Amino acid sequence: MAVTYLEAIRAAQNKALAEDERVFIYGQDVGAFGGAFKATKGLAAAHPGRVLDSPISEDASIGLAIGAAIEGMRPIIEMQFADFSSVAFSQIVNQAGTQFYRTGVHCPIVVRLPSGGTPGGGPFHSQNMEAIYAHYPGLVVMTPATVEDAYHLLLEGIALDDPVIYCEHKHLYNHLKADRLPERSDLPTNKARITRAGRDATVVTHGAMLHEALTAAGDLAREGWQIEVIDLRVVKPLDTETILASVARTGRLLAVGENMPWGGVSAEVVARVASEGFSSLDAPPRRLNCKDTPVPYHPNLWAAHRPNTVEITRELKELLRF
Amino acid sequence: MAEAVVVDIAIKTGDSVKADQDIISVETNKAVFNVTSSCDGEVAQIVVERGGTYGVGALLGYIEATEAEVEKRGLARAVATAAQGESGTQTNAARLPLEAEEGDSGSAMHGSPDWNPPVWASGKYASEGGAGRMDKPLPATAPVIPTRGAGAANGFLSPRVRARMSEAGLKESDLAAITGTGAGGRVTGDDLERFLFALQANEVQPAMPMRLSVADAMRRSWTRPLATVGKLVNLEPILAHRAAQSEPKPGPALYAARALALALAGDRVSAARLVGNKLVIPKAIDIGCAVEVDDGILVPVLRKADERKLAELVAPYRELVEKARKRSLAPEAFAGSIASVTNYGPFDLDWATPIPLPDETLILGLGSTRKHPEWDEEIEDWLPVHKATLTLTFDHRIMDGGRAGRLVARIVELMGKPEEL
Repeated sequence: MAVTYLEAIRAAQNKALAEDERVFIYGQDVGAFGGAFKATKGLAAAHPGRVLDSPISEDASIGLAIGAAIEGMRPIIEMQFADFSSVAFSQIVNQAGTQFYRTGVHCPIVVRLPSGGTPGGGPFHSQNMEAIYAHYPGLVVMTPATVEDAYHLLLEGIALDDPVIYCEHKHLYNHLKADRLPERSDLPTNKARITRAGRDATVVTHGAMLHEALTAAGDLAREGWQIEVIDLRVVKPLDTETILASVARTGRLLAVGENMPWGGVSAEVVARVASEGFSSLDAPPRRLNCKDTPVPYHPNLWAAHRPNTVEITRELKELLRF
Repeated sequence: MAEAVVVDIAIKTGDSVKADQDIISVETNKAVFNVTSSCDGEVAQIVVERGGTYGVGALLGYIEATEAEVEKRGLARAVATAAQGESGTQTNAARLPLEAEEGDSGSAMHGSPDWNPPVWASGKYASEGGAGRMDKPLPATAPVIPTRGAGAANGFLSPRVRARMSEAGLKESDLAAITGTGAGGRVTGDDLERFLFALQANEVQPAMPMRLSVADAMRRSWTRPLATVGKLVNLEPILAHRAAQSEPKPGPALYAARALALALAGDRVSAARLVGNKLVIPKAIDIGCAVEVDDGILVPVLRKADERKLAELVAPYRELVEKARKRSLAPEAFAGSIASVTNYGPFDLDWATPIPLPDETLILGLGSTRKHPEWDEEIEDWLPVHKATLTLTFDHRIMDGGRAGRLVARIVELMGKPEEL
């Protein structure tokens, strides 16, 4: 029976709750209602008293979770939308991010951010926040792009002693399916995955953009180009080694991110390749992000706002042409 | 050249054409060329427009080949012949794109040797085998993306290629033998690897430092536009003068060096160097003297050769040559010459185009002494006269043939009066 990306997230939480009594889930409507996207559906009944509804205050939820973590618990906090986590920004970056540095006491919380756009989501319900949190020291930022990674990275994130920002992409919730959930992950937490091997150019991406990039690579393969596609899986810490090794093979880099173009994950990837991998380059590295505007509401505008297969293909051709 | 303008289209769809018939005229920055039909057939489609600018290797159109042509060329009916800019497009089997394939020079669009072959993508893009290298022509469906115009790509070496060159100890001039297969004809990393791999089939031995040092100087010097002029010089006065000297006697090269020094003393601008937009005029007339040594050449410097008489130069000159041959001169002894003299007469050569050192503008060469017949008006007969050719190689940025000619004439004149040297 097929497992969706959303079901994998639910299964990981269920497993964590079952195996570690320090784990609990806290968030708006995560209890009896099962969460805004049903990521915690049935968990409150299965684990009485450990899947708790919070008040409508992201700030307070994270504050409570940090306190619980200090006392030895491993809370999972669900934000209804990644966009709303900005309300809890200070708690996340100032308190959780710096806690171990300041006090020597770990802060093992996992903040789940339902991220990215779906048609009609609009400016407040579509954003990708991974670049923001990756900017701050002390946070681990995960961006699973596959069902298997959604499952294993969440479990690994819960097991980590550091605060984890877990960016789950809403567009993948029900679109993405796997046959089954593997027993264990094929990669260590901090390793990027070479999803598709190639020789002519490297695409480095993460989250939902992986699938757009794979389609573009498939299209170009019919024209004879072999595009290597790297799924970062975890954007912080960034697996620079795998990226540089790939660019050393291909000589060309395109970094694709659904984030805003100013700074961000793709900018960081380009900067590292340009400075540390200069001698591997056959062409100037390129990057592709969404448009530098708020996320539009209208489905057509939304589709034009984020990078897509056509744009990635166009960028790759420019890169190959150089 | 990366692009051309279509100035005339002599055919229209449906016209019958013969192989090699002129059908389209294109104009480049150099000339107008005709594109010829690649086969007998009927014009199926013309893709380009009159007045349009197209990249090298652009698809111009299609010709529906005749049955006979299909037979002759062994065209498979089911196989697509996709062309540049249309990669992946399926076309009729018997249609031939109006654009030549690699290795097919002289046909189709190749109107002139100046016309570059179509810019195919690098071979590595064509094969599906992972780490495979190109060892055969690309299939017709090879991806081809036109390069930017203006030929800016030519000569570009990517950081990756440069890093590999540095690793392998190569200079740009070592790449002269490589035909680039990358965008715009540039040399790719794969091209470099294939080149290096092929070299291994030969006997390879390390070059001596002296050889490498000369190679480096010559390579750097060769970046300039060098030209050579030559003139016969009558050596009878020098031979007579020399015979009258006691040992040690000056050799012909020293006479030439002293004459060159005096000539330059009266015309220092001829020995100037052009650096940026400034002429650097030498303050001292220091003349280099080329000395052949094992596997190379050394050029010790005779200082202030204009201020010392020939007789005073004999001893220092002999010492320089001797020490150079023994390799016992300090590096300073080779620095700062403004021009050099090289005597290739001992090699029995009449003429040569020697290359000045990178920081020199001039080199004077002296050829082998021969008896030349010269008509004597008084006795009305031919007389044998000892002569040799003087060659002057110069940086054409600094002076032109006229000035170089006058300089050589002045040296010849000075060599005609050795007692004044």
